[in-house]
Amino acid sequence: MPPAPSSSVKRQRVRIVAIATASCSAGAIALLGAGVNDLTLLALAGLVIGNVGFACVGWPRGLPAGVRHGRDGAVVGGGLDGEAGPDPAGDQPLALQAVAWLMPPAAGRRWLAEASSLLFEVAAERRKRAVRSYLLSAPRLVVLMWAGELSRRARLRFRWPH
Amino acid sequence: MALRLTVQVLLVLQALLREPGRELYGLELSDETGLLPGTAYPILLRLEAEGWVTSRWEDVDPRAEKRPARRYYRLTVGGAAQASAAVAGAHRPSSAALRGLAREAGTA
Repeated sequence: MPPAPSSSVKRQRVRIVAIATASCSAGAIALLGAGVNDLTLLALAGLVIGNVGFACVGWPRGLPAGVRHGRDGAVVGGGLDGEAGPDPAGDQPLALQAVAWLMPPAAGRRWLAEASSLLFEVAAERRKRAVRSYLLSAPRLVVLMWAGELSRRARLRFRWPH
Repeated sequence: MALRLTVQVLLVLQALLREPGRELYGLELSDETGLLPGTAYPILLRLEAEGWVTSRWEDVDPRAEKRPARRYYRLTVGGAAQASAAVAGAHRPSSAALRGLAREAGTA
């Protein structure tokens, strides 16, 4: 009898199923809106395969979605601009991943990596409260981060007109 | 954007000022200030944006250490001076603010 899957493997399975379900739902809504033809079907298949593939990248090694080991063994993906990211064995709650997705990419990666790093070390009884505190501060943070990002982009555009 | 010196910001600054050269990571800051990590993070971001604080990822191999890399924060030279002045000049927090903090620290 094969050994029971660990909780991180179970969570990864749930994540893959959730991503596949979300992809199929989004695709079905798009199909209903755009009408069924070869192109939309192909786009839907691509979306589902792409998303599930992304979720499965690090699965065999128990890595979070989108995170894998590079050739030199370093963790690739999920970090801040190529810097050290979340722990391979770390767990990123889906809600935090969803919030990070709403932030500007670099800032979201940093926030998620830092939150995952802290949650990995925090005592189990404090973990839920810590996650909740991150989620409670998230809406303001998303607005602040986008405001900063947009003003940075505006400054760059102003400085280097094309 | 000017930095608003709330009680929470002052708590973070005081924790960083205890040993200005020392680097603190999120969990240590949370423990020392009594603030929840989600509360401390935006404060650190604002302090960093203002140039009072600098941060870096810990240079470790997560698999060797069996834990993720930490993000360390410390006061910059200019930030330490500004933080000292800010903390020294801060008014004593109101009893309502202290009660609120005590409640938050109790749930941290």
